[in-house]
Amino acid sequence: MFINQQGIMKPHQETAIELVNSLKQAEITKKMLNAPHLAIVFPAFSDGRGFTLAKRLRRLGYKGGLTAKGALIPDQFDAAFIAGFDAVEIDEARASRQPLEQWLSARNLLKHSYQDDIFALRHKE
Amino acid sequence: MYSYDQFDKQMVRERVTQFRDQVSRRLTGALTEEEFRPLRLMNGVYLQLHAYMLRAAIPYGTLNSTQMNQLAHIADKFDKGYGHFTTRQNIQYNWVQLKDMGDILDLLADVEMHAIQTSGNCIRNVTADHFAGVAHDEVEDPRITAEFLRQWSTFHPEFSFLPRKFKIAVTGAKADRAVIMAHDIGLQLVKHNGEIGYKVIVGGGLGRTPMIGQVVREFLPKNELLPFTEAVMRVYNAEGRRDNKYKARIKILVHETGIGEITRLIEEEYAALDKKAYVYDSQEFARIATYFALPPLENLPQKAFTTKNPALKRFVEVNSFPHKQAGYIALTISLKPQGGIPGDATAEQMRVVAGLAKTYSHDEIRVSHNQNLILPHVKLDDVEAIYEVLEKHGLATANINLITDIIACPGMDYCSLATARSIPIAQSISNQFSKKQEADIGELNINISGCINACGHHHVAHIGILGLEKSGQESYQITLGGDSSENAAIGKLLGPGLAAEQLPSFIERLVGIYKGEKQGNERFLDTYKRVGAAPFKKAYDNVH
Repeated sequence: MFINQQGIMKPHQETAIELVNSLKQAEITKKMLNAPHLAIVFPAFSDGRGFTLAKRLRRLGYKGGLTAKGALIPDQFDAAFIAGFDAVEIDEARASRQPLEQWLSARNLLKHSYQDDIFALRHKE
Repeated sequence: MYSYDQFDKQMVRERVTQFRDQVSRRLTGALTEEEFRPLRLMNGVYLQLHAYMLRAAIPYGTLNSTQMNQLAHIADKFDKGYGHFTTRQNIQYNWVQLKDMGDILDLLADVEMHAIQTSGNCIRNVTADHFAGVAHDEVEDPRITAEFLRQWSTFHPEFSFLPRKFKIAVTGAKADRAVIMAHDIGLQLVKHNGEIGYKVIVGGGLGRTPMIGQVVREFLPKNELLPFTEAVMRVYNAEGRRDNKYKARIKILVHETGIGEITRLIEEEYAALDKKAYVYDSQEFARIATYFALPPLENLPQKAFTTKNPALKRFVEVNSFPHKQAGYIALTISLKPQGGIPGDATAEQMRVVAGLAKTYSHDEIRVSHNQNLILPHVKLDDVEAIYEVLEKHGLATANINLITDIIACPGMDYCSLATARSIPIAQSISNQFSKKQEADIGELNINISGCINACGHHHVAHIGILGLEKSGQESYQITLGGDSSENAAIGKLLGPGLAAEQLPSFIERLVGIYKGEKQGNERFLDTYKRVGAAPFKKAYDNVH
């Protein structure tokens, strides 16, 4: 099951080059950065390396589709988009246990964030 | 102390809603226990031997009477009428039920408290010197930094699924009363050419492989704290080991990679990261700082404390800490009564302390990592009245930093990780020494851990006791020479394991050896450092 940032179950047009979540920054190649679609594999939801890798890819200027693939739970949906992913892909077994509604209702449970907007809201003129 | 604004309040409320939803998804099976586990841990909910345990956060160990009264209320309503103050300045309830967690978290939110990230592989409670704001030797109140980091680290989207837990501690003085050298990140506020910044230490930790932290930055300008911390966290998140739970802390990464290379990785990441997100940091820091100004203290003459009551005199001598304002002290309330359970307080005792704080300490209480409570702003003139109240409630033990001021983890009586009981050991040692003997011995820190996870911090105690299991029996190892101050040191194993019954007299023998070797005003630790372990090994002679 594919879910994009808008909550729509529409897969990317292009197939993804899959990346292991343990990929080091120095191992990111030009080919990867030019690919239309990358997918970072999450071997376990407790392994948060994919969030850092996504952030680093975007920082290096990656503009293509970026999918968080594998073992994720709905409670990580927001974090995925903040890291720079634009879609989550989970397998059928996981999707039957955690269907689309759970993913959508897990979003935006926290209206603001300390890392994103609270300091600005407090101080912006 | 810090007071929530609308954003802080909204955050803790939304978190409770989120947690209630997580609990219901667990009950339907939508979340497996394995998936639920880190989510409940990030709300401080542990599954222990007898029941669930809730660890509520007391950020940098500071709270007011309203909050302490609520903690007492929770103890009465949802626990067995008591709570346990921990070595990281939090409070634990050992007898709560999962079905009540949402209600308890709501009660905490009602008084601007929470149990967020007190467990789990995320950034934990940022601890600080329990004499912050009071101590003469402070460059700046470390709690401003701690609150700043608390907010930044709360629900951090990138750093909530780390290889392992992450603990940060801050000291405002060179004297380290926050054990920063044994934390994943230790921060010391320093002044360079009139500018305040941080000495940043990384890779300390206790547990199974105790290590003292190492400096990655001698001076970090204050307004660079959050982006620099982000760099450290990113390197750890990406590079920390995930193959072995016992090798997953940043201390292992530093040890295996080398401090030079780790520093290079951090500085490289720091140079590359986007600092735009931090443009409001200075303003936010200044906003938080306004909450930590000294309360309106009176201008009193400097004077010595005098009384005709010898017990009260002793109490003040032993339990007071000098306050930067003349005529005031910070007063420690010992939660180590003779033969008692270290760090435990009944709901009634919590209420008593709350009342005293409101009347005599500008409504402020501190929790120390030594598992004691502190009234930080007490007039010497009020000490007698306070003492009278404390005495009535078993809170007047005059033993701070003495041999019966023992730090102990909950141990096998409560904890599913433990290999031995720790509480009965603390009790038996506490009962071994009379007040007179205790006074004679002077400063001596004994810490007891009920397993190699070392939650009792025994590695940095003058005498550390580690409870293991050997052939089905509890066996206690002794380490000597640990130091949790800025002269941080890991204690060294003295000899073979001992049975529980042998410990009190063994400790007595160690004390006897110290007294025999002591020169001048040396503390136990000083004598040990001077003469080494050899004389103390004689304590094993004739052990039966």
